[in-house]
Amino acid sequence: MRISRLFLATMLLSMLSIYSLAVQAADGAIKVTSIAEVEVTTLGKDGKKSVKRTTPEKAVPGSEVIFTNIFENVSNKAASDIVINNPVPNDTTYKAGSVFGKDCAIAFSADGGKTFGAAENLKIKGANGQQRNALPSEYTHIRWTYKGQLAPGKFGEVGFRAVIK
Amino acid sequence: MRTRLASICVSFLLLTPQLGWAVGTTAGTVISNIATVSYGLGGVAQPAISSTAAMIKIDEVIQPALTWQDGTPVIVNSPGTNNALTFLLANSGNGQEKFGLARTNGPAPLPAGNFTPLNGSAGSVYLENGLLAGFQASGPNADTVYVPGVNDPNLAPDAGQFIYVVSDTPVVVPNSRGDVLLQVTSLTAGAAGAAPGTSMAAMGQGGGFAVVGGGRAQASATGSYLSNGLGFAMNKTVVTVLDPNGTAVLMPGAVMTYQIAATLTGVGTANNLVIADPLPANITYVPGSIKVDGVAKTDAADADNAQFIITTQSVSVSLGSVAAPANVVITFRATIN
Repeated sequence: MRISRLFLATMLLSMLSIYSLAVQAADGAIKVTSIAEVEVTTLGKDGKKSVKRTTPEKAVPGSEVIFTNIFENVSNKAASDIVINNPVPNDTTYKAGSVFGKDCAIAFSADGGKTFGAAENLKIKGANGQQRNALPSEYTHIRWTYKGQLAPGKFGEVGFRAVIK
Repeated sequence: MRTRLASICVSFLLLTPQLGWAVGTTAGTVISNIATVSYGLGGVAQPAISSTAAMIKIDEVIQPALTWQDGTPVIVNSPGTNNALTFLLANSGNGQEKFGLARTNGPAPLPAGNFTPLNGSAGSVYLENGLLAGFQASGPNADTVYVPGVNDPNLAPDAGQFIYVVSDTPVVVPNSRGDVLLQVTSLTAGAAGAAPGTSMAAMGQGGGFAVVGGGRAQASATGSYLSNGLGFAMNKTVVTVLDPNGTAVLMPGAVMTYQIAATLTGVGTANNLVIADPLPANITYVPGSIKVDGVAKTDAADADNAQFIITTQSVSVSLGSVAAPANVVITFRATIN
């Protein structure tokens, strides 16, 4: 009997840990959710335009998508040294100047994430082999470094816009 | 449900039909955004975690593009049979799409003086089958007769299909024009003619939406024929006169330089064109003085294209087959008897 209870408890424990691995966003103290939205303008009955964000319905080449990463401290301790690294998603181009993220230092990479720098300083090897400034359309990664600590229960939001190729 | 004061409100950019431009990411492709977060707790670094993935499936824009390829009107005999107008249909959208074709002979409004082409006796519309460029009605490289509902062009993104509109020409006034309108429509239900941006759920390649592009999921182009017609004019002048006293008095012994400017106008080809100028009895041809477009010619009937025929006292220039428009300048000298 004891053995079977122990066996049952072990089974339950291992099943739980498999479940928590599958829901990787809930690992550890920080939970991170990434969402994609588009802006839709509708003309109200009063003739005023209202802009809403919705899930993309007509995501065609040329569409602009807003990607937002929401990070939340789900633990009971303050989290520090939070760095969020977002590769520019496949088949999209980063939209110049669209990055946002309160209380963050923002840097970009144009070499696949090997080196990061401020937008003005980012260099890339041009066609003639010489170094030149990287264009925002050539960015491969965006990185936010959250300044200070994130208290338990608090969350922050960072994101950017990208255009579907 | 967020509301923001964002100034950008465009939901998508409609591609203008342009052959050869990149049509964008293939419909059905899934865009996946994942961010990785590293952090510390109480000064101790924690294992990095990944966000949930934000995923978007790319929808399909339906955007056919159609251009008439001949550039200038196709010259036809009147009456004539099975002359082709060449069109190029391109899929400028980002998903596989099937298109229907329809022709209208002499589309309204019909310009005054135009004739109305007829459907070709060999067939009305043909699809280039890729074996040999250009329209072939028969033979080993024969192109395929288009049958609506049976072989509607089914094109991958960026792919093109050459289409031949084949027509017979009735008896018409020379040098008159006949037009044929070719219309292309997307065969996705509800797409052709719908307002740009209209979307149909699950109808796009890959299972996303099919979205009507700026061209309303249809395209059209008009091609033209021109019926054959030639015109010919000759203008003969005396360019110089030199009399025995060194002045330009028309007197016996004066040598005149004649110039014949011949012009072929209209469209088509004049076959075996010969320009002959019999000299009047009171002047005598100066031997060896014929020039055609400035090039000296012999008097004998030989390999060059000009001669002086003694029996008829004629300057004769044989130009063979000449396509209009064309002009030629013939000069020769003769002495007043």
